[in-house]
Amino acid sequence: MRVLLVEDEPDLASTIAQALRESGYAVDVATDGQQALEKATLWEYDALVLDLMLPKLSGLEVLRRVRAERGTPVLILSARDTLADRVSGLDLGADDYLVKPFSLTELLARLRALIRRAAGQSQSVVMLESLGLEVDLAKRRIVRDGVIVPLTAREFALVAYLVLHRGKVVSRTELYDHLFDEEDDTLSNLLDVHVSHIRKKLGSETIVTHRGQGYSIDG
Amino acid sequence: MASSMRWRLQCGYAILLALVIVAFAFLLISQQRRHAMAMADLQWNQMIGRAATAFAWGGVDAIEWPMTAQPPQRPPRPPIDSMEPRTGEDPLRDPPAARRSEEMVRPGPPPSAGRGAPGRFGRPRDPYPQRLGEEAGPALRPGPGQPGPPWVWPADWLSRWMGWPSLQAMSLRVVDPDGMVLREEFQPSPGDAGAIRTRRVPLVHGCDLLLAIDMRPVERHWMISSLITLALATLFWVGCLAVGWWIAGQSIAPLERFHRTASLVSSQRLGERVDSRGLDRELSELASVLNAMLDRLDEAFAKQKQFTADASHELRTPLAVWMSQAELALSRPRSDTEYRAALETCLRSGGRMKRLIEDLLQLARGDQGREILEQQPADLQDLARQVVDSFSPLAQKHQVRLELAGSSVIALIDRDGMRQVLDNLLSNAIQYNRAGGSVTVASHLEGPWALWVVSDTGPGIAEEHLPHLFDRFYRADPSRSRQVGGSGLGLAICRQWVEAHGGSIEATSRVGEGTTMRVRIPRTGIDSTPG
Repeated sequence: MRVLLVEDEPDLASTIAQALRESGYAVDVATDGQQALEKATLWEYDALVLDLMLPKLSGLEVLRRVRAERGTPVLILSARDTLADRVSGLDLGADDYLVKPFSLTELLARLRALIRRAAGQSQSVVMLESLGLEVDLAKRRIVRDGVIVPLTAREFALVAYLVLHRGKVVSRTELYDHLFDEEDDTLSNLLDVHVSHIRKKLGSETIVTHRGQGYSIDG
Repeated sequence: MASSMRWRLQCGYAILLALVIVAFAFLLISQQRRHAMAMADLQWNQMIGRAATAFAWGGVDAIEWPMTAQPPQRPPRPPIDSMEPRTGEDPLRDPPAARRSEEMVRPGPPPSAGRGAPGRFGRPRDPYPQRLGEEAGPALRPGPGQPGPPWVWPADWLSRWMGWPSLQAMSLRVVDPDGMVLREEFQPSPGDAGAIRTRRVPLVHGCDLLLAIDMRPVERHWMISSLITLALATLFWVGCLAVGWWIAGQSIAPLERFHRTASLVSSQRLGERVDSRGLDRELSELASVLNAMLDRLDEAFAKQKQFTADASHELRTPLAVWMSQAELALSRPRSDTEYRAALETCLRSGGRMKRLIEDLLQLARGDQGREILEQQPADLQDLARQVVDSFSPLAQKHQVRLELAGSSVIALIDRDGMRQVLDNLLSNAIQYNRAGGSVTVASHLEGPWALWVVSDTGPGIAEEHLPHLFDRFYRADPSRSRQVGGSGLGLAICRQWVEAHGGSIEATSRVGEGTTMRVRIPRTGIDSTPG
């Protein structure tokens, strides 16, 4: 999952970015409104965490312009807590509103919910009956026959993305875009390495390769 | 509130109106009395005329008895040329008074020389020249060419509407020149003697006629007409009161608007205004004053609201850093370096909060009324040197050259306050400067003012930001101040201190060249020669 974090306070930005990365997200950080708008329209993010009081371009303006082009889920993270602020934020197309100071746990839970809902998934535990797998998106683990299968963060992210888009063929480019942030120097075959590791751990039939198109998880 | 004001207006109006109406009714009633008496006179004269004619033609027995008189008819309007004023001296119309003396049952008032005498413009002063009980004066005689009875409005209308009573002679006596009674008639009546009036009139052959009539129907007629007048006056009074009540209500109605708006405003809706359309001038002035007051109040509230929102935003942000950093650090076991970094971040945002809170408290103290300034004569140049010295490490860090200029200026200042002012100005000038730039602090004398001029070679401030520079939490460039770590309150505190001294602070700037801050302090109580 790739998230754009828009926050002008450097300390807060680095803290949240670290917390998100530790939860397996690929994170891009923008420190002003202009930068945020450029990145949000350039890349297909899974979610946007947006501060409202930003230099150059206000958060609400960024939200309005992003909404004109993309349906990315947006979570507003602001120190402004009046009813009017919350209402105007949500009315402009934000999907959630969190007031500073906040709990990181809550922020992460809300982000998960946003991404899940955007993918049309209502529960955080997904049962893949045909494969005998149970994917827990909240606890970030995969249970096979009652045993937790150890996966690296990247590997889990890959599986989670494919599970959220179950039954659809996901192209390699799309996977790259959603699993690696802009600072990653990804090798073109890194994806193949991850896929082969996952197949080893979960079974070769887990991820289906569609030649020239991409990968998918069915079930 | 409104109803009692209406009542008070109404009471004053009712009393005034009652006084006017009573006076007017009194005039009407006295006019009605004169009219009634004149009418009685006419009828009396009618009877006397009939008796005199009958006596002259047929002797004493030809006089009819009992004798009654018809109510007098309104004479036809005389042609215009006969309407010239009657002069009291016309001998044809006014025979010598001595021959027509009246005898009264009760003694009348002494003869009045003025009665019937021509008044101004040759008109008789009194429209009713003859009065019952008066011996002198011209008599009213009905006949052709006579102006007739006082057909005065509105007494005449009322009389005719009520119907004039026909009068009856009570007694008749004809005496010859020797005093022998030739004929005496008497009509029995239960009336008392006081209501009977007698007149003595000369007949032919030196005989005299004494004719008495009963005045009671006349008195009764007048009494009823006065009652009717009083009743009408009361009705009129009540009608006027009703109209007055309505008018008072109308003129008080705009106050209801004020009241409505005021009560809406008091319930937190500061946007309400009094609608001044269609108000009287006084009230519309009041409305505009009230609206202007509400505008200012609204503005002050909006400012206060903005300030609170800004302050809470500024406090929440470091708190958010603090909490999320701690939560992240505790979320899993970490290395010593990671814990150290987390604690450093917490310490940094804690320091920012501390600065912010101190600045907020400082401003709040100033808003409550600055504690008495500890003013004492001090050299501004000296103070500037101390501050510049203390800032040299920061200047070195930012590679900025600090310069001191101007001359020694003594002013009456609060040292701590003015030191804080220069601290804030210098820290801004250094931190928002370019590397290799310079900051100059100069002290001057300018007329009655002591001046500090702090100029830097920074990027400058765009013109649209200049008017708001000293507002609380105003930031020309929010991103830069984040890096520098200012609270956004420094210049507001500067302004507060300078204004507490009775001075002023202003900023001029050219984008790309630098910014100049001027602080003026009045030099009151100081010898103008620099020490």
